[in-house]
Amino acid sequence: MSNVLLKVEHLKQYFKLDRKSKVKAVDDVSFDIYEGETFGLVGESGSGKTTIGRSIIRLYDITGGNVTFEGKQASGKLKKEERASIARNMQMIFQDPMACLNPRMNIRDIVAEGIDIHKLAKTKEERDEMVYAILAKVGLAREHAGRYPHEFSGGQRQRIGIARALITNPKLVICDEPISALDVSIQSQVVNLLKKLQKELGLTYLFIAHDLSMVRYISDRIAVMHKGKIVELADAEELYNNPLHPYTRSLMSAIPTPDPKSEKQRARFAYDPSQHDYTTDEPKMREIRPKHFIYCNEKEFQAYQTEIA
Amino acid sequence: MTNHDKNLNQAFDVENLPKDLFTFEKATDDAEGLTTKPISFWQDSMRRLFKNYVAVVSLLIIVVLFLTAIIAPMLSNYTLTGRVNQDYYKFAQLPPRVPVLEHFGLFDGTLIKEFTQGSLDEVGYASDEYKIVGTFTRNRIEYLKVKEYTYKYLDIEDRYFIFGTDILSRDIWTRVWYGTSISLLIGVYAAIIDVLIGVIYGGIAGYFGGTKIDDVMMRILEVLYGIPSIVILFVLFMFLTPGIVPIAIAIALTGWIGVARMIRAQFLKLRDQEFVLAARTLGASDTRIIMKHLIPNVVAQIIVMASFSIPSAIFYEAFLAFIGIGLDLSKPSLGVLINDAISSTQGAMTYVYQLVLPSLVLSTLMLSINLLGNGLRDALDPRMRNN
Repeated sequence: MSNVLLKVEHLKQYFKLDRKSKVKAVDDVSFDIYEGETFGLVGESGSGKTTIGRSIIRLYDITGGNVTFEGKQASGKLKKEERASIARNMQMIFQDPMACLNPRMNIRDIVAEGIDIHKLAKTKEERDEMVYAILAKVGLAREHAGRYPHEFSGGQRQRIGIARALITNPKLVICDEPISALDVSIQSQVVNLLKKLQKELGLTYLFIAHDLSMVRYISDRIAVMHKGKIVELADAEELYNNPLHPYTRSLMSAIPTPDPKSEKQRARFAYDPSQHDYTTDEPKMREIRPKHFIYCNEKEFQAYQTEIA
Repeated sequence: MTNHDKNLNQAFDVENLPKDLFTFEKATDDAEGLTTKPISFWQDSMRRLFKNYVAVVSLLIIVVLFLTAIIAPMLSNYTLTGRVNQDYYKFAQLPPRVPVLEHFGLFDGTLIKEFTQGSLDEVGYASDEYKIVGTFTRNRIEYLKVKEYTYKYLDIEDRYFIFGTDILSRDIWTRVWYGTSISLLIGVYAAIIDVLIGVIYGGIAGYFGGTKIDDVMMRILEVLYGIPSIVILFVLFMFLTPGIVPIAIAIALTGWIGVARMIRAQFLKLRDQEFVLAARTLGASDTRIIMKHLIPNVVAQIIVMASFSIPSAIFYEAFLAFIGIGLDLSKPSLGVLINDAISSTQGAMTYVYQLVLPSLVLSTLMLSINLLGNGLRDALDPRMRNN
C-alpha cells in the first residue's frame, strides 16, 4: 500500500449548546487515508460526516485528537506558513451548488480566489491562463469566465466549485456530499469528472455522501458512521459483500435496486442501537479480517467471527 | 403477484423487450453554448429598476428638484436673507405671481382677504383692484371675501415673485430652493452617518456573531434603542451650536441602530454560507472575507436602507425645526421655512401659500425618494418585495 496522506487519530468535535449540554458531533474517530485512494464516508443525516470533513480542513477548532497531513501536524495552533500550506494542499468541494459560489463575483474571480490568496500568479495574463486551463479541465469554456453564478445550471456550478478547489493544485480533496443536490443524470456526470480528475492529477479524495450506491462506485475504502462514531470500515467490495455491523446491514438493506422484481422482495430493517450492551464491556475498533474493522466489544467480536467463519 | 401486475406483464413483456427500441442519446457539445451576453448583478438590477415606471418618474422628479435646488438660488436676483426692496413694507407678504400662468388664474398675484363693508371702504381700492367673491357671517357680523389684485394695488405690476415674499419681504422662491438643498444635505449626511456606523457596528457584531463581543455589542445597542431620542436631542442642543452637521449627527444618533441590526442579521446569515466557507478553506483572511464576500452581498440592502434613511432624516429634521429644536436661521431648511410660515400667516388663509409651497416641495421630495427606495428594493432584492 502507498503512503498515508492523512492520519486522523481520536478526533473529537463537540459543540456547546449551552452551559450544561453539548453535542458530540464526532466522538473519538480514527482513520487513515492513503495517497491516491478515494475514502468514502457514509452515514445518516446528523451522523457527523460533514463535521469530520470540516474539522480536518480546519473550519472548526477540534475539541480533541490529532490530524496529521503528509506527516506534519495539521490540527491545533499552527504557524501562518503551515496554515497556508495546508490550505493549498487540502481543498473542499461543497454540497450546495447554489450556495457555494459568491453571487456577486464572476467565475474568473471565483476560480482565481486561490491564486489571489496564495499569490500563485505574477501577472494578470498568467492568472487568466491558469483559470482557463482549470475550466477546460472541468469541461467549461473560457467564455464562461466572465459570467456570474446565476447563469449556470447546478451541474455547471458544481464543476466551477471543483475548478476552484483544484486551482491550488491540492493533494487531498474533501468532497462534502458534492452530488446530493444534483439530479441523477448530472450526478454521474460530476462523479465521472471527479474520477477522471483523480486519474489525471493524482488526487486523493475523502468522499462524503449518503448515497450508498454512488459511494460504492467511486470509493476504494468506505467507513460507515453512526452518531459521531465509525462503526465499520473496510474495502468497498468487502463492505458491500460482507456487512457485519447491524447498522451497516440496515443501511445496505435500504439501497434501492433498479429492478422491479428484486425490489419487490427487498426487505428493509431498522437498526436498533439498544441491541448493544456496552455497560460492562467497552467497545472499540477491532480488525475482524485483514483491513476490515468493526466497532464492537469482545463478546460481539466473538459472535461476528463465528458468523464469518 | 397481483392481478394488476399480471396484466402489466402481459401488456409489456418486460423480459423480452426488443433492444432496438432503445437508443442512446448523446449530449451535444453546443448544449452548453452561450447565446447571451454576461449580465452582472448590477446590470440586472438596473434593468429591473428602469422597468419600474414609478421609480423612474420618482428618479426624474428627484433629479429635477435637486438641480433646481442648486441652480435656482444661483440664478435668483434675490438673496436668502436680504429684502427684495428698500421699501419693505410695500414688498412684504406679496402673493405668488408667475408669468403666463397668471392668465389662467393660477399664481396670478391675488390675495383673498376678509373685510367688513366699513373696513373695505377705508382701504380705498380702485375699482379694478379688487373683486368681491363672497360673503359670510361670523359672530353676527357680515364679512366680505375680497380678491385683492395685490400687484396692481401696490403699483408694481412689472415685478414677478414666483413664490411671493414673506413677512420680512424676502423672496420665498429663493428661500424654498435654498431650504431644499439644506434639507437634502441633512438627509444625505444623516444617511451616510447611519450607514457608516451601522455597517461597521453591525458588521463586527455579525462577523463575530454568537461570541461575547456580539453579545456585549447587542446589549449596548438595545440600551441605546431604549432611550427616547427626543430627550437626547434636547440635551444635545443645549451644548451644540445648530448647523447642518450637528443636526445630521443628532438625527443619525438613533438612525444607525436599524442599519446595524440589519447588517448584523445579514452577516450572520452569510457567514455560514458555503461560499464563505470555501474562501476560508482556501486560506482567506478575515479582511478578505469581509471585503470580498460579505460586504458585496449586503451593498444592495445598504443602498435600500440609505434610500429610506434620507427621507426619514429630512422629515425628522423638519419636525425638529417645527417644534423649535436645532433651528439655524442663517441656513433655513424646509422645516424652518414651514415654521416661519406658521407665524407669518397669522392664522388666516390669506397668506397660506407661504406654508403650502415649502410643504409641497418637502412632500414631493420625500414621496419621490420613498418611491425610488421602494423601486430600488424591488430591483436589488426581489425577495424582499411584499415585506
